[in-house]
Amino acid sequence: MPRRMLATMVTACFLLLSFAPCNGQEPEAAAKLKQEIERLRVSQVAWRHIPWNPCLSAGLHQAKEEGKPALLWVFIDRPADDARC
Amino acid sequence: MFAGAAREAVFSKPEVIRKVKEAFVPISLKAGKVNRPPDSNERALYEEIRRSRPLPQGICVVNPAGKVLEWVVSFDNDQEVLRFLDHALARYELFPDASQPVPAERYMHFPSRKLEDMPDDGRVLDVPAPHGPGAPCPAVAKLPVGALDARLVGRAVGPEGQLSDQVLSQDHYAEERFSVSPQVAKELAKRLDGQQGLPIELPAVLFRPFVAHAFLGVLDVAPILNPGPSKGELIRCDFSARPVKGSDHCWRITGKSEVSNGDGMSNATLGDMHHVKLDWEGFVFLQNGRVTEIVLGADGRERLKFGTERKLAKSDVSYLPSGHTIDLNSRVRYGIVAQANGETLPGSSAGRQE
Repeated sequence: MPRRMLATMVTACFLLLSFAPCNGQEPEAAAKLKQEIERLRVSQVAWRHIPWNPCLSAGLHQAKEEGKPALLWVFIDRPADDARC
Repeated sequence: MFAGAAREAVFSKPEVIRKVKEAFVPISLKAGKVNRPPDSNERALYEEIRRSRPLPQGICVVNPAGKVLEWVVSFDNDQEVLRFLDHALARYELFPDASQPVPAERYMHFPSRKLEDMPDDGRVLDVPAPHGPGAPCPAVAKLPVGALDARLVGRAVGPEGQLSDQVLSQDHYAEERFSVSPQVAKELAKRLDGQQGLPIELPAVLFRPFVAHAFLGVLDVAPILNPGPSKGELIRCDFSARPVKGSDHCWRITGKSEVSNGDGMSNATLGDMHHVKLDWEGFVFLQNGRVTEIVLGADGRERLKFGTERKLAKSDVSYLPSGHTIDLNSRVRYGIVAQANGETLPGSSAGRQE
């Protein structure tokens, strides 16, 4: 079987499992859907490696304790969490 | 736009991540708080940062006394990001505290476009003790009682069904955390609670919050939540629910949505557009007449053109305020899980509530 066709079939099965009706098995299907949603998520995305502190005074106290300057990223909205920016 | 561009082009580079973690204390501040300092014991600190800023958004280095050493908006090229960090560290060695006047250096582009230094105004700033339980940090907002805390993830999908691996760019991989208002959650529960048998149509207003956030790209390309002059069009938002057999608390949701915007989007150029068409499936769970959880998956197509007329810069770090151009025409998938738990949204503002 050509590789491309196999990939298409695997994807089709994946989508059927995640979004298709499950004939009375809905709570189970909901759990499955949540698992599929989690699979969309990337846990180790690079921008999450910097531990941004959203609190200015706490950050400055930490800077003093550690003898470092503070790097402030001033932005509209909230990328420090796992949000869109 | 700036935040997304900076996150992607600056703060995702391994050498920058390493340097920031080793030599700095990273703090993320909302521009709104800097531009309108909060009425709290941190006000003077925010005012000091605002006093020298070249633009409402940027990257700033301060010493632990809260005195600004450097501001930068963009960089000449990738190498200059690390040179800027080294330059800031060298200035920190000269001005580690407020024992002498600290002039703030300001760059539109580092190092080629420098603005005049902002002289120290002589104020000695009090850095207040970190917030305790009775004095919440102004940067942290609480979800209103009864609101739903929603987390979205979205991916571009390739022609053979594979998820895009370009996860640094929000036009291929998006995450978002938003809240659904108590009113919407309450109305949804009211419509569903006690329903038996046949599917019921649900008003668009109840699923608009979910549809509005399901898009790829930065905030400036939001189809119907756009910060620019055009608020876009909700072409379709048809959702229905039917109770699940054998369950008195679970409803199956199906829906179709379509949203669109054009070159009236924020920071858009002539010919820019955004169109998202999705099929939705999911579940709503109720308990004691209240929504406890909503789980939604969506699959469809997305067309996004952004910055079409913009001249290409040599490097993404050299035009951070406007971000990179986008030309996406792709199948897409989204997932949203919204829960009623009343948690705090870290580093957030309540202003993103739908």
